[in-house]
Amino acid sequence: MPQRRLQALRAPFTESSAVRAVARTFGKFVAGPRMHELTVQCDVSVVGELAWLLRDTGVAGLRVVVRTNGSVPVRAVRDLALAGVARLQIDGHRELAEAELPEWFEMSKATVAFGLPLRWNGTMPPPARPHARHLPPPGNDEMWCRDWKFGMLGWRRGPGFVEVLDCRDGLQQLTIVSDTLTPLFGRELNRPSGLEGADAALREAGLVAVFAGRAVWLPYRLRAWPVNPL
Amino acid sequence: MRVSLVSMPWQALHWPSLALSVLDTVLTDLGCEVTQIYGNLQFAEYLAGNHQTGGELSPDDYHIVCDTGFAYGVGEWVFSSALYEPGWRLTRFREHLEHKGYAHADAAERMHRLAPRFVELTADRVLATRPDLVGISSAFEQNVPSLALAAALKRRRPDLPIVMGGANCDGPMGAALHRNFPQLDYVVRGEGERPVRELLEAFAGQRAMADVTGLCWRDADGRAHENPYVARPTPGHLLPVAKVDPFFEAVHASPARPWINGLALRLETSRGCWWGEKRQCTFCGLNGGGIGFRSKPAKRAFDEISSAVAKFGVLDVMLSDNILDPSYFDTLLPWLAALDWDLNIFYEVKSNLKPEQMASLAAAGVTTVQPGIESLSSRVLALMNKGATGAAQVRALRLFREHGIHPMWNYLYGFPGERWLTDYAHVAEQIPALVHLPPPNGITRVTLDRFSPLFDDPTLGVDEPLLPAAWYPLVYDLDGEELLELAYTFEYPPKGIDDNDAAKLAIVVEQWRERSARSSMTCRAVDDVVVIEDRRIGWPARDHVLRGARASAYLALARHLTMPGLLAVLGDQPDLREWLGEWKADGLVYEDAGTWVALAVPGVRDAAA
Ligand code: B12
Ligand code: SF4
Repeated sequence: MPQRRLQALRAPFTESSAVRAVARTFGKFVAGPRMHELTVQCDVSVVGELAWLLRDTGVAGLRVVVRTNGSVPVRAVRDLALAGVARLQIDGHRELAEAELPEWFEMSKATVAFGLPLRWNGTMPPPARPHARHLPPPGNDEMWCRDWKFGMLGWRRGPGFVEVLDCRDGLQQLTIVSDTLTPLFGRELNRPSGLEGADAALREAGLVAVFAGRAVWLPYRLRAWPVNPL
Repeated sequence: MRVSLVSMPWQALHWPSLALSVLDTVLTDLGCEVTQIYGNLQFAEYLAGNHQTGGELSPDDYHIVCDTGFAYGVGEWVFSSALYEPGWRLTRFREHLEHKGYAHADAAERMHRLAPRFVELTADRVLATRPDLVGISSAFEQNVPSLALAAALKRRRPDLPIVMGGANCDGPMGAALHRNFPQLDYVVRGEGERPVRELLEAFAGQRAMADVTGLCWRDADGRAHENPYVARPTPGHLLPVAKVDPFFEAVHASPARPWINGLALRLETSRGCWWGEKRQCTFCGLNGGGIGFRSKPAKRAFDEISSAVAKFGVLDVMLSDNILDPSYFDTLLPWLAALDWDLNIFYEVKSNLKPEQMASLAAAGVTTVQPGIESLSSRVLALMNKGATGAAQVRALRLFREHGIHPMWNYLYGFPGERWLTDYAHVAEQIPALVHLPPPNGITRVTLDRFSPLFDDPTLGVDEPLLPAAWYPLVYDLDGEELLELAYTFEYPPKGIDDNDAAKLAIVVEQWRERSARSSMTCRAVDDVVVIEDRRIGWPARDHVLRGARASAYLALARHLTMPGLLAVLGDQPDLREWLGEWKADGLVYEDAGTWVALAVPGVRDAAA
């Protein structure tokens, strides 16, 4: 009897071998340095599949770090987060080019929205920087790191409306009818649109930015509270 | 019949008055034409106007009194200028504030000077709605402002009937108010739904005033009468839908709007308390009459919350319930979760929630709770009848942290019978191990409130003659006997631990508050190994690796267990006592009254940035 109860206690944590097997399938697999740590290094083209399988196995208690080399799609970010991955790391020093910013922004937004820590080093083209203050900062940018707080610019879903909480310069609360946004950026507001999304008022308010001819909705979805970034 | 319902300062500015909102529905259903008047907002506007014309006050001063004034009677005294005269007991009141170390005395005095004019303006506004009846709702510090308004109305229209109700009018307090303030024609004690209907019937000649539940009234000769105070709580399925439209219309149009951040809906899904029904917590002032638990049918509760969110475009929802209905875990909460809205809900809950119930709260958008933690010592919790043990409360804090729910709590002390050595020393000693868990807002000596068992039952330890809180005689021109009847909070010689011991507790609690944001202690169970990563401020950064039976024992302590309980799970384990001793020294477990609980929070993620 005690044995069965103990198993029940451990149930969500069993089978770390399953996780190791998944990790081995997709990339370079590094165990450790501590016994409960495991790093999977893989090409960005397979992160989606890795994430999908990890969602099934969970992380079995391991601290799993996923390292890759490009912008991870939003869906994969979500799966990694739900799997219980400890963090996502983008390798190397990234000099981000304007053309890759829409995907980079969406990945960054998704990591904050799902609570998956993102580590990276590098730089952003200067015109994009003011639009990225609320997104995970590169470790090499001290100022950005120092000023960053969770909840600086987020949106919340309501019935038929989107509420934006903007704490970048004092608190501003804004309610926007969903119908004006979802046709452009999708239901989750995480799909860059063409220039039709570059509404002047939204750009003025710092809620939309245009990179290489594509418009990005800047706030991430706020799912965790309490938010008190002021 | 035209009825104007008024809520005076110091009701909070961020949300509707639930009393006005539900009484509006009751009266409208009875065929009345109802206007809600937010006198509290209007006072904030008045201060905003004063600000624009170069004055020194603003609605921020309103917020300050609203948030901090209750314990010292500040809000009540501010309006004493309108009820009695400007400068009313000014020197003595300022001395009282100084004695208590209250920082906003100057602002209070300035508001005191402005109050009479404001009350006159409010009376004009009320009369402009051409009421046949005025209803005023009073709780917290709304008594003096409400009495001043009633007097101003009577000066202008002596024939206008005025009725007051609300938490300040419950039981003997309502009768005392009625006896001493002739500007109140009627006082309704307790819940209003039924008395209001009966009062209208009495106006229509269909019922005698003597026959209206709990009513205080006057006869033709002006003599005050007090109907027997009987509790007739409104059943759950009859709790009215709150009509909050007038608040949102008023606040959106208000010049004080820029000072009011974060509007919230305020709704109710139940009244009473299913725990207090059985064993009321000794400090709890929930009235015996109103304590019977009743909740709305889940479908109705869901419809009300979801349609109000949709109608007013507000995702922050404060529920006024004293305690969550456990049946909502299978109904209301999953239904709210399925909406996929980013709600931010406040509920009061009982702390003994199961992990899956915590998950259910979090999924529904319940982000903040008041879980009644109160203390981390079983003996003190037993003295207050909380029905929880110290280790269970610590476990609740750990589960809240794990599920991302913010628990609001205060460490209460001062219960008759408690002692530092047996009830606090071991808690204070272990608090440094808790710094990664949600800290209390602070420590508070328990107040003696009317209707609480501590107040009602001298055998619980407060057996001295009762004395109203120090500010009552400074605010009211009434003798001691009447104040005893009118008061809600009372003074008594401190019980339990003394102020020196309390100061020791305060120091460790303050440290907890300072350290909590930067502290973490997580555990991961990989196969048969448990790794605890200790990154708490004040402890060496260190990983503890537990293997085999030790790992099992630590995992078993996810629940709070006694030694026999642990042995029942683990089987015979000769070294157990030694392990527990080591873990306690390393701050990995909390022990109270022979019960142990693990402190490390099961972790998956790294810290954000
Ligand atoms: C939700 C709540 C809060 C919320 C929101 C408060 C707010 N300002 O809106 C929060 C958590 C913020 C809060 C804070 C405080 N609270 Co509080 N709170 C409650 C609680 C649990 C529910 C209140 C409620 O909305 N009930 C539902 C509505 C519908 O009931 P109601 O207002 O009583 O109205 C009914 C009757 O009274 C009557 N009625 C009311 N008005 C009128 C008018 C007329 C004309 C008529 C005929 C009838 C009538 O009919 C209504 C319908 O039945 C009550 C306990 C309780 N169960 O009542 C305590 C309670 C009101 N709080 C109390 C206290 C002391 C406080 C604090 C001062 C605590 C503190 N020390 O800081 C602060 C003050 C905050 C402030 N300045 O606004 C006391 C008040 C005691 C008193 N004599 O007034 C209560 C009664 C709890 C208690 N017993 O200790 N509180
Ligand atoms: S303190 Fe809370 S749980 Fe205890 S009796 Fe009062 S309402 Fe119920």
